[in-house]
Amino acid sequence: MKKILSVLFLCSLIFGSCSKNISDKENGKIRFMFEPGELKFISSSFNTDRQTMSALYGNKEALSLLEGARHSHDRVSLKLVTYKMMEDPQYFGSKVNGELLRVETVKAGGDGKLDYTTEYGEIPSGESREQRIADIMDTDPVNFPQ
Amino acid sequence: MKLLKRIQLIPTIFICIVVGLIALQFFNRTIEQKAVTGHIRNVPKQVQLILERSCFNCHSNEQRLSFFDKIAPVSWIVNRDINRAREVMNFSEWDKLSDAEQKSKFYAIYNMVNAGKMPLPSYALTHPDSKLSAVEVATIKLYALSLSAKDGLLPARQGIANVIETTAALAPVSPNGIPYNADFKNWKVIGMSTLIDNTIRVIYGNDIAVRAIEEENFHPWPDGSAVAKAVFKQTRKSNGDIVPGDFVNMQYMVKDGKTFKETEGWGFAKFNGQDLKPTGKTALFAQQSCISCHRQLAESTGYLFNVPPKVSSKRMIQQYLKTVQK
Ligand code: HEC
Ligand code: HEC
Repeated sequence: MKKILSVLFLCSLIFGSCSKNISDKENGKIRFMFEPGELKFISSSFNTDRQTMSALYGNKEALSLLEGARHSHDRVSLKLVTYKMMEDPQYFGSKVNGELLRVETVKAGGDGKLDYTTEYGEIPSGESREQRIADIMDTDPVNFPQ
Repeated sequence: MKLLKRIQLIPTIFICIVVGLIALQFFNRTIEQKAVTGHIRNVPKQVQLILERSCFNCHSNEQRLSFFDKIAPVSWIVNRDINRAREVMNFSEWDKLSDAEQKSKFYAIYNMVNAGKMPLPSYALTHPDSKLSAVEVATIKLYALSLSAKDGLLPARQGIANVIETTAALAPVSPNGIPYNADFKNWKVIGMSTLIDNTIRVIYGNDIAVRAIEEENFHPWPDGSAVAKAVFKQTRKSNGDIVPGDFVNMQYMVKDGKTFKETEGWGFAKFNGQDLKPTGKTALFAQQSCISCHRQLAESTGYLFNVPPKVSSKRMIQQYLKTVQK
């Protein structure tokens, strides 16, 4: 009886781990690193109410616009990449960026105005495009020594 | 019977050695104390630190000898080396040299350290802290070159290149030889993190590290992988977002399995505040104050915490990448 039980137990273990693998594949979760192309990192932020973390990228026109060194919207290009905030799986008390939620873009349009689109995901509920643009343009680039 | 004799012989020999060693101490003389007439100056801080750490025990009047160096017969060898070393070059009597001599000494210094002749190999063996890293040797070389560049002794083009290189090399350097590398700004952001109510961090990876993550190839991480973490104070915006405020420090992990054996192949470095002051007095600082957390808690990701977790949907990301490529 004991033998049978232990064989059954072993089988279930093997099966269990197999089916876990299969579901892993189906869920297809991957590590994600945002590829900014020619844009550079400008700043990051997190929001505990929304439980999100974001990184803002932009070209050099966008950077000097945000630094206040330039006032024209010409050629400006920005992307705000937002993730769910999650516990660091290896270090309690530290929060890291988790699942990708959305990628928003702000680009100079033809009429000297800024255009807003979402490349991935959806605009946060209850917010207008104008609000999103204003929020994104209200960013101070990070400052490093020298 | 023979065996018994031998057993008795061992303690006897031991006692003889001890007595002999004690007797030797009566013939022990401490090294002659000499005044510091002109401490070497006007050299960049990191060059100064290298010389003080690695060379001053012999080439100066400012020895900091260990107990071991002071007992005979070791002290005889040490004292002989010191006397000889001071004869040829003394960083505490640097003012006795003319400008030109000081300059040419730096070429001698570079050649000696580059050939691995200085610090004396016998000394380096018993004083591992005094060994120079490749970066430190390069720092000395660039400084020597910069002295000539100022005189226009070098061909114009080479001179300019050297000055640029020199300013790069004169960036702050961690005691284990890892320099502050401003190039991280061109690396990819691989993660963000925050300790709630404390700081906000951005983590960058160089191409080798990014590729290792993409290929799930970090057991172990390939040599040349480098990760930089920028730490800022938190600032609250009116919309409730927390954003980076004042810069706090920059931290690096650089993979070089051979050089950093004691710390799982990772070289650690930390540069604090606006003047990027390096953390640590000796190269051992990482063993004492960095590796333990990383070793104990981040083993599953090759001792590096910020590997992006597997949480984004492969299907949706692939779809997204297709649309942006169009
Ligand atoms: C253990 C003592 C010791 C240490 C430590 C040491 N040296 Fe020396 N050094 C000597 C001795 C002894 C000589 C003379 C060797 C000879 O005559 O063969 C010498 C000679 C030199 C010379 C030749 C000087 C000349 O103009 O003739 C240079 C240059 C030199 N050392 C540089 C250094 C540098 C740079 C360091 C540190 C990185 C260093 N040494 C560390 C003992 C030491
Ligand atoms: C108390 C534990 C602890 C100690 C000690 C520690 N670290 Fe870390 N380190 C962490 C944690 C947790 C993270 C990930 C969270 C974050 O990004 O801050 C991290 C992240 C890093 C990173 C970014 C790469 C990575 O592993 O995610 C670098 C670079 C780094 N540490 C360098 C250092 C240096 C240099 C020292 C020594 C001066 C040091 N650490 C000491 C806990 C520690």
